[in-house]
Amino acid sequence: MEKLLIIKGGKIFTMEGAPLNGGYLIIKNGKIEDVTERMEIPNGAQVIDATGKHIYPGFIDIHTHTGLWEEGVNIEGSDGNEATDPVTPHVRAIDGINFHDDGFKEAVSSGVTTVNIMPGSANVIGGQGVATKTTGQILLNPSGIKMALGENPKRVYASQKKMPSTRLGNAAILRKALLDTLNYIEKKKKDKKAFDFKLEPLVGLFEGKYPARIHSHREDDILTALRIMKEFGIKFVIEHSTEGHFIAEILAKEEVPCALGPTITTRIKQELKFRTPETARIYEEKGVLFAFTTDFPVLPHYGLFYSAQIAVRHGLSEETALKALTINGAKILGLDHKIGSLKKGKDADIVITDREIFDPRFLVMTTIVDGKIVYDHKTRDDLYI
Amino acid sequence: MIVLIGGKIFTGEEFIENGAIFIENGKIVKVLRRKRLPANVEVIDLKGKYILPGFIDPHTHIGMRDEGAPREYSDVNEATDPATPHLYALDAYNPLDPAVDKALRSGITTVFITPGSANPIGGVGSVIKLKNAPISEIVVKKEAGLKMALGENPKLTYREKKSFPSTRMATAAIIREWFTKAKRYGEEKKRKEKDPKLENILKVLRKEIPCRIHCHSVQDIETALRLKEEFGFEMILEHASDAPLIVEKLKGKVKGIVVGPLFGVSSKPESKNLSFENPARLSAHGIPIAITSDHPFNAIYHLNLYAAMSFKEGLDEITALKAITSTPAEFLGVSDRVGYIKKGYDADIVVFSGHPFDIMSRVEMVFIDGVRVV
Repeated sequence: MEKLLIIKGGKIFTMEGAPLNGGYLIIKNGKIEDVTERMEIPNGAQVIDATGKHIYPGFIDIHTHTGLWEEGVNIEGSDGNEATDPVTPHVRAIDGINFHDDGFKEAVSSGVTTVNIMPGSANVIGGQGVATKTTGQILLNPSGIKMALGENPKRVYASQKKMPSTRLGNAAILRKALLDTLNYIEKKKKDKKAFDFKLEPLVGLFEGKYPARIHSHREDDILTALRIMKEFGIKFVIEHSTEGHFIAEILAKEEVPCALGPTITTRIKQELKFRTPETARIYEEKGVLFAFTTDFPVLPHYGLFYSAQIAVRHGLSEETALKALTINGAKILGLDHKIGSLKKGKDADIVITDREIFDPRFLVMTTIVDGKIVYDHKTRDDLYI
Repeated sequence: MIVLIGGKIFTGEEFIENGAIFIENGKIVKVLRRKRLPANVEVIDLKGKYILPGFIDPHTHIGMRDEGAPREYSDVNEATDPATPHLYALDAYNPLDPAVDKALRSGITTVFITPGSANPIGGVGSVIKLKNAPISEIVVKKEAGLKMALGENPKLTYREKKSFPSTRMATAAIIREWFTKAKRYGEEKKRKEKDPKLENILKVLRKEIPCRIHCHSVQDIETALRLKEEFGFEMILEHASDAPLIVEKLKGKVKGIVVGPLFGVSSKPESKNLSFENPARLSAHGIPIAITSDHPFNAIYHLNLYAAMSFKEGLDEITALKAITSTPAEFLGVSDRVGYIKKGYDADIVVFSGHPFDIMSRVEMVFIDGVRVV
């Protein structure tokens, strides 16, 4: 039996109701055993004194490419986009991820304990994502099928003089692949031997096993996604959702969750023109379920907190901002039974900071994943942030 | 009958001092710890010398890219199709490659020749002896492994052609696609037509031959482990520069690791952790290792020195000697014939003037199938 790890003192943001001042967080066998206001500390327990500190559930980034585009390596370490074919549902992010990449160390030292890593946005259907702890334990594979609308696929294939070179082409390719899948499902019912390696992963979308995760920035692209997914009855998440504030009511009404970000880059392309720090506030007002993302390596992992801070500066409540860094991401990934809040039975993924995370001066003191201290500011090997 | 007497004999497992090796009809008929010589035998006295099994290099392209020939004469990579399991390295082997004779003079008697790493599924490699004879007589094992490749080589090869695979994701998808096809093909009760590509993958799925997977970086080694998990094949990792970083995960999962080429600077990002310390680090965790030159990428002529460098960096002496004799024989599935000085084995023997790890030692004699060739 593993001994108890107890974090005592500090302000505990459980994300299950109001924060607890000076309570006790009890961890056993990698799980949260209890969160309590009072307790007798048993002999032999390992105690972390967090008096004066802030304690959060491990942060979640639901849209990254960590380890898939390796830091400091050019083409040899670039595995995000299989930009040779606009439809590649059969490729898997997990096959390209280098878990020893510095990006993961940076994530852990930033307090990000779970990421959803997906192929990039070169292809209309890019491939399978994977949700994983930043210390390498796989949570969900596949976590969804990455899709992309808008400028990226059209730019990539226009330069190869192939379809799609317009938004029309993007939508047509997406629709065709989904229709092919429906036909394939029918064929499989009649012919047990029927097998299509490429379409097989798309069958899971129709079975509701995982969602489509659709890269779209502009309002029209988001609406295209909504239209096509409704046509086919597929669950989906909007990735980036840069112009989502224009249609927040629709997103809320249709219960479409959004991965919001990266919100603090320069406007490097036309479709980012209407990016605004107010999107998150508008999502909160209209009731859109959203989580912040960095799109790492577009932003570094610690960029997650700047995104949240700036949104708060522009009117988002701290409470919703915190949810958008923790439990909302867990919900969107379908992992809220395991991660995203500090509750008995959930994974002991915990971050201790010296100040509240909305203070830009905050430092991560300790990161705990599955009950193990994986980063300690005092004994760190390298300074990654 | 020839009897080699005296000297230190390395049997492929241990050293024997002042023993005797009896050779007849190309085979080793007896190995004695003490000399007891019958009459009427030819005795070769090797007092003071080191006698070892002929060296085995488990990963080469010798005879496939001739030394000194222009690049366009290379037959290592059929880089026109990412899945070519139906190719045989043997079909490219040129016994007149000047490297063959030089390798023999350096004590290498057996090699594995294999397709290169341009394709995710490259083709079948063979075990051959480096003796001057018709090809049909030099083959020890025609099908000794299916070469596959992950990481930079396939992705850079096909990215250049703007075709699939250009990422690690797609490299794995190609392997998965072909192995899935082969699995389904194997499950069909009646096969109307034989598919040469799928037939060879089927041999891997039935564990008749192992996969020999070219990989360097951590993510590629992990991908290999995942593929093995999914398809249940036997696996030997080739190069595996990063293997010491995840050695715990490899225990019991790989038949072994072929380490090398180790000499020189790493030429690409994924091999940045290449080091002569790797064999020791892996071996310390019980992972069987063999050492290769990857000829022509390192010269095969100095195979003993690559083992010596690994010894210098902490690899145990016997393990280092086994890494170029009996261990590669095990990996290649030919350990019933070569790699040892033992009763019943082919009389493939190399005689060194001193310890084979001493740079001043020279190869003085080489026997293949009992015939002195050097």
